[in-house]
Amino acid sequence: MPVVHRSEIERRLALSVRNPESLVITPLLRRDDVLGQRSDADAVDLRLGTFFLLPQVPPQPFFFPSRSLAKSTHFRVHVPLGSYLVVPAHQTVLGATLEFVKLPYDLSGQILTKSSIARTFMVIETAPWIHPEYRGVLTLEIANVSNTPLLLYPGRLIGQLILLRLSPRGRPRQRLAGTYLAPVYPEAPLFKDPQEDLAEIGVPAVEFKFPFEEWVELYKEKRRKENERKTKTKSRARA
Amino acid sequence: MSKLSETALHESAALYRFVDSIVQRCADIHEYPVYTKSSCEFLNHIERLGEQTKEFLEGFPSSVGRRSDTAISKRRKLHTLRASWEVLHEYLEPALNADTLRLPTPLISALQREINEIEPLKSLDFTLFHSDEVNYLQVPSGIVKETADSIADLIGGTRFPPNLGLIGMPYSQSSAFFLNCLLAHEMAHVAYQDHYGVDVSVQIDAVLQALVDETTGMSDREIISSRGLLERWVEEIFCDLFAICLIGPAYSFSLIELTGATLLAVSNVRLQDPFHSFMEYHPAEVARFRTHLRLLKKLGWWNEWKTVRACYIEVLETSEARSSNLRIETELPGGIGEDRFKEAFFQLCDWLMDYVAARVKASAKSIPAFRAQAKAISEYLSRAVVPSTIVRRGQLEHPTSIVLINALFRFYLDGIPKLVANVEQSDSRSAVKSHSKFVERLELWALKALEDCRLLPQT
Repeated sequence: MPVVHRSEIERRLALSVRNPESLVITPLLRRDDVLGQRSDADAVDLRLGTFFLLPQVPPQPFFFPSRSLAKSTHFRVHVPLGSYLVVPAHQTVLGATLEFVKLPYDLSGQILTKSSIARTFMVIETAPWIHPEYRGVLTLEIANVSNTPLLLYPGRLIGQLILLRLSPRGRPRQRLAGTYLAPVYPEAPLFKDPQEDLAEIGVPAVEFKFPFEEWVELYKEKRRKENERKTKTKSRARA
Repeated sequence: MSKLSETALHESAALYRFVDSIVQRCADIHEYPVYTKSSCEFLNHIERLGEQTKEFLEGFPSSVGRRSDTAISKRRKLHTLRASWEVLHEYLEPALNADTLRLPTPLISALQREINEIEPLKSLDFTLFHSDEVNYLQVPSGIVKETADSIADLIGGTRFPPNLGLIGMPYSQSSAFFLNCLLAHEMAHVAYQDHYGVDVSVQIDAVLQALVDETTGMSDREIISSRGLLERWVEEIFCDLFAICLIGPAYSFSLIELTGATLLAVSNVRLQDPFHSFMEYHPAEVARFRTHLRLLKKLGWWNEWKTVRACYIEVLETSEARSSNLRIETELPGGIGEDRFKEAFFQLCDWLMDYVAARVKASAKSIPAFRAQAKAISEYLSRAVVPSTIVRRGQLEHPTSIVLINALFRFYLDGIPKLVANVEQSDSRSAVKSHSKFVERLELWALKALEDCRLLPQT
């Protein structure tokens, strides 16, 4: 999978969107710095966007990755250009690139932490792979793995996009697909309920265990026995 | 301590406590949520005025003399002060709720930039607040500005920032784009009241004088009443025309959407419907659309839209023919015929068209770029790509905010099926749900495109 050179990136950026080989990166600010002779030959620098999802304590004592509860783990924050977000030590936030990207059908992408950012022990990606024909801002799973709170300023360079050519090239899709259709800010994860996922590989619903299910059953049994005991005591007293 | 002093102390302390709770609420602004510059200006002013009021109240009991007649007049001042703070109190929480996450900030910034390009409106600024009504509104300067200034006069405090208008929008519509184009109209109210109202007033007087000359025995009260009606209707029309000259036909379509006037596109719609009625505070919607259509034709926008297949276009197109059925539902002063009054109103509308078009040129200047770029923007949207950078004939271009707003509206009216056809996972169980999902996405892309637009050099 050869890495795509800057000149090829420039060629594809100038193609009409109708052309399946076209690449879109918008807004590409200070184009000469991020894509010109002074920039790296094999990457495009990307900036941090203005929306974030901050983690919050879920209403249950655990995070259950299901259809209804996925959104309860984060709340959204807007940090306009010029303002900053504090990421405490050992904390995580979901962010996104300022740039909206549309990949061609024959290129994959990978986003990497910019080396100067990485040296502050800030990591921006744990799912860095971008599939061909993806469109949207790139969600960043930002983690401050240092012992110091770090400030994030939206609009500053944070990552690098590397493009790789598919081999063989394949064919463009007839229709767009995707769980997240062209997002413009980080979005909460979308899950099916786990029993639905497992049913697809043949795990029967009766075998699926809900978290704390055994505890709940034990608790119910305990309450039932207590109630029985109380009823017996009352009837003895009446007799 | 005399009973008089004791009462003054008690009253001052009660008001102090009330104002202090407002000041503390304003001072609660930290890093998140974030507010726009103009919201901060408003909230900071209220906080400052509150601190000044508290300072005034601290010295109040000692300023109340021993004579009961002067004491009563001073205590009345305290009551006026409380009443004024109660008015401001009403607007504080809705302004605090409207942080940048809960506002269509890129659209507001784009409108603000266009307005600030107009010479006398260079320093006009807008604080947005949330309203629980499903309506857009401008708070007349008399309510907040004058109330705040009356407090400042009473206590010797700082006066309200000049050129700061207050605009309300429905709290639930922060991520909406198409409906929020109505904000341009509310911003125009501020421009009207601060700058253009005087010129328009002179014209109203001239038209009214002709009416009075023709009508025998009109009393002063009847003249004032006629003037009031014309003033209110004309201000609405001014704001409509201003909004069209500022952002183009997108404004008309957002008004059609808000009022549900797409009903008018049905040919056999009953003539008794409310769209044909002039009410006490608003001109009839059909009269507004008729004026919109005339202005759009005059500016040259209509040529770009007349072939679009959408019921919104039909609503505008049929407004001219429908205007023969317009009715005035409010009582007209004796002696003036309904037709003559409508004629006077439309005479003012025609004058306004020239007046506004000569002063607000933003949208008319964008027509050639719209003509050139709208199709390419539509291509991007139908492929779910934000169109802040487009490629035409091998060249990268960055459309202006006005071109984007109108091209996005056009796609909203006739392009959604193209997008739906291009996406695999559309919800086939419910067409309404699926359509609504795509409109929601489109509105997000629209706001993103406008946000990018601010950063990119425009071509």
